[in-house]
Amino acid sequence: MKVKYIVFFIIFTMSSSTSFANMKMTSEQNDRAIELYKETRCLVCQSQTIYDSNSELATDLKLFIQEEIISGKSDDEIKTQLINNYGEWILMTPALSKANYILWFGPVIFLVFGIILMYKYIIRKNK
Amino acid sequence: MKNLKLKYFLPVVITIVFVIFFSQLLKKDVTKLSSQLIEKPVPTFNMPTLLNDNQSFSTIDVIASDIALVNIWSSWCIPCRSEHEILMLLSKIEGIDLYGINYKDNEDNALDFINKLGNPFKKIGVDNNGRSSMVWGVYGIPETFIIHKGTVIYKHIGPIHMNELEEIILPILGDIL
Repeated sequence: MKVKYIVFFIIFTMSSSTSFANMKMTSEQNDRAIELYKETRCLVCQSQTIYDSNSELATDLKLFIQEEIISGKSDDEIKTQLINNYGEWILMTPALSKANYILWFGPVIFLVFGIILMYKYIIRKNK
Repeated sequence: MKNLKLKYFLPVVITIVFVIFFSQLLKKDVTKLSSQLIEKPVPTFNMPTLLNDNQSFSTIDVIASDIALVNIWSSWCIPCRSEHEILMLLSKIEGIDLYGINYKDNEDNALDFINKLGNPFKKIGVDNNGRSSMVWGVYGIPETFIIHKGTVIYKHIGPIHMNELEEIILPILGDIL
């Protein structure tokens, strides 16, 4: 029985480092923070979001997002701030801009092109 | 017959174009992020200093210098140690002010580092928790910024090696000095 309590105590203290930081946030704010973590790239691990990463930078960025949320900033304001500091690359989903039109619309254009070709081919074959 | 040829060659041509296009993209090393700050004014920051008590190191200091070099370092950062002699050399060039930001360090260790290896900096700001440096887009130290008349013109990620000093840093400084 005692062992159970010890195990519980260890797990509790291990998890408390993250839960302390979350204490000040309401559950709704916490949900917003988590959504933002999932949108933010960990710049030292790059293919991971800060939500998945425990690197020092990821921890700093999480704290930054928490503080900004608590101080009443909107999600867009926080994202803009992150972009101003670190650049567009920090967001997992690139924002729509002239520089990446081909990224966003390229697949659609290719799909339409393919459908037209296929349509023409089928019509010709049926004739 | 002519039409048939085109039909077979078009996919090959498109594939080649794509391969060239994407291989060019892959050449770019995304791990070396170019700074968002290039050609932008010095970010707004304010932090206490390491050596001069009751003073602060802020945007105003950096703007006041015609040419400023801001180096973010820490005593626990091994590459910073090897870079330090380069900074000492740079500090000897007239017309350039070096500023340091001591990042997530312990005050005693930081002082020890400076006392042992020399102080190339005009002022050293202290950023205990890494928050004030966030406006500089810091993600791995050492990082060095060159600022000309209040505008960030270059960011160097990682330690400045001797060959980089000669091939990159000095030519940039030569242009603006």
